[in-house]
Amino acid sequence: MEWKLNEQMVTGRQRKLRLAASFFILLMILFTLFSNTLLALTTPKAVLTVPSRGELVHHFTGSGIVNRKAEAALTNPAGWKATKVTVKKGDHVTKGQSLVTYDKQDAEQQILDEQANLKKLKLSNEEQKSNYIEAAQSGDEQSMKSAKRALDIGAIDVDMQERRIQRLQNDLHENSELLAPFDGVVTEVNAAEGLPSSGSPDIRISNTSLGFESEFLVPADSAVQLKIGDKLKVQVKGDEGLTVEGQVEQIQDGDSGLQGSTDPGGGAAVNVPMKKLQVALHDNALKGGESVKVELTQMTDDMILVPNQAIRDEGGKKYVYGVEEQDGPLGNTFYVRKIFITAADSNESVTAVSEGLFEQQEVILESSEPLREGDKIRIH
Amino acid sequence: MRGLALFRKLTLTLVMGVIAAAMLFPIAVTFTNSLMTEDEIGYNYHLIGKMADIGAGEKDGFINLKLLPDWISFRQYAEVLVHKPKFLHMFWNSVFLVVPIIAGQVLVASLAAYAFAKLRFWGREKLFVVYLMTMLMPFQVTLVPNYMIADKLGLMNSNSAIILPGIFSAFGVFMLRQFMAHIPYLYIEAAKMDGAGHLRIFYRVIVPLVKPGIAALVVLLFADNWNMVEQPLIFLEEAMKQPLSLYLSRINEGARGVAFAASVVYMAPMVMLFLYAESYLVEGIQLSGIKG
Repeated sequence: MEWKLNEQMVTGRQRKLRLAASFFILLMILFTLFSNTLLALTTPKAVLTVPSRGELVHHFTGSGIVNRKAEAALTNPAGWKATKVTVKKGDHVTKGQSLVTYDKQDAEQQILDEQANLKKLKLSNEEQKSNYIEAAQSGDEQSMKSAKRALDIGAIDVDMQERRIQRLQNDLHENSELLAPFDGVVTEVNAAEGLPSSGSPDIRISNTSLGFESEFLVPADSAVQLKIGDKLKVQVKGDEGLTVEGQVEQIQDGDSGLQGSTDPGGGAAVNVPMKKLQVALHDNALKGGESVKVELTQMTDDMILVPNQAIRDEGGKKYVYGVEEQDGPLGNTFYVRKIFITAADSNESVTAVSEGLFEQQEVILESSEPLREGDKIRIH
Repeated sequence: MRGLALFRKLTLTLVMGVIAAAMLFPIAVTFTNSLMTEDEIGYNYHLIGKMADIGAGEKDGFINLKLLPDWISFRQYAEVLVHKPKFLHMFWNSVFLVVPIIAGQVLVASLAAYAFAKLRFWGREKLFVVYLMTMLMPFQVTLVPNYMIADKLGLMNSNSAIILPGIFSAFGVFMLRQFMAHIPYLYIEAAKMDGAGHLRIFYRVIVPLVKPGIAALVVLLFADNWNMVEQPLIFLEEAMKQPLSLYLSRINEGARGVAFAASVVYMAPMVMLFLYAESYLVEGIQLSGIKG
């Protein structure tokens, strides 16, 4: 009986152990099958990059507007009312072409008035003349002299009046119409039919034969290699793929400007001396008024280049995350390590590092989760 | 007189208790430490593996063995079972080395033991002595010939280089022969009278009777092969083929934080098997008069 009880106890314990063993084996199988999945859920994945040595290239884009080289502002100096505007903005005109016709009634009226005045003067001259003849016949020396003086004054008045009429007629001829001074394109029309000139030029016209020009403000550093006469590629914004050739005509000192557009995310904007480039453009495709840009490149010394994505900032101090590998009997484990660096320069994609990193030292480019120093990571 | 017997018994119990505690202590430490965090272990055992810097105020000599964790954490287990895929890989390497060895050796040894115990043929005893001699020689002695044979057969860096020598070991034959020797020949005679052949006798009569012996052999073989270090170290060059036993031989500074949990997982199959077959093992060792 006692033996049987003992046997039962043993089998009861064995059953439990069998259960435990099955559970253990099952657990090991499950972990074997799913540990990778669990690992992916618990450990951030990091993508590494190897910094390279090279020259940092700054690309700078300067923008400007295309303008005609020669432009004339045409105004009616007399301020007459416009009766007819024969051109509109963008019209090509030839030299001598009529642009605006003005109301000349007032001027004609004035000329008629002045001509009437002249007639009056001439009549009064006739009278003076007969006075003089009378005086001469009378032999009165005194009255003859005064008649002669009055006759001379009358002749001067007639001359003056004639000149005034001549001038008015000239004005009438010149101001009744606005003519194109050269072959060109109308760039602005301010004249409106029925209204007098408003102070601004009635017509602005650009000379087509002299071509275009544009001004660009660029950092002095990037313009250092440029000299007058250099050719530049100028891109026309908006017009897909249109690139025209420009020639540097003038390089002037410009105001200091903030260099912000070149390095989004890289470095604080600093005050840099700027240069103003005047570039002549000759291309029939240009119309004037287009936005254009020039791209300038600037090289720095040979340095270690790290993608900007890998550079992090902590209270103004820059650092990258490096990887520390710990060997173990169960394979290597990778930990995140913070490496402070000195960034010498940067452009829109890479930063040149002068201290803190050496070539071929792997740094973390991006990770599936935000990282902290000492975190364990998976590497792919 | 009775008081003396009681005193003797008490003393014996005390001595045995102390010995048992001493033996259980490392296991207890391993288990409790496996529930500590990596940081706690690092703090407790920071002196292991390096010289104490007395100049910096460190005390030489003693290490703070801590039994109870500050708080229970399964971080180590997660680390071992999830973050270290190589651990599981090595675990299954061990399983795929040990299971074929045990299965093969039980099959081969039980048949050979039957022959040595119950078949009468010329030179049986002499052959058995030769067999025993291979068992008496330590593994290292036969290592070089083993290596050369494995190399000639093109088995280097493959599991067979360990499994094949493991299967044909004299230990199982010897142990099961001792078991079978105790089976009265009359049983075999009776079976023969009923018209049973050797295979039927072996399968129907002998195997059921030596079940405890086989169980004991399985436990001893498991313990032996689960813990083998030299064979895989020599025959398996590729790290991804090596069993878990090699990992424990390589615990270093870097992996100290997970060593305890790894040890617990490593021990678990053996402990469970031992508890399961404990009664057979005791019986088997008693009968055959040997232990692993």
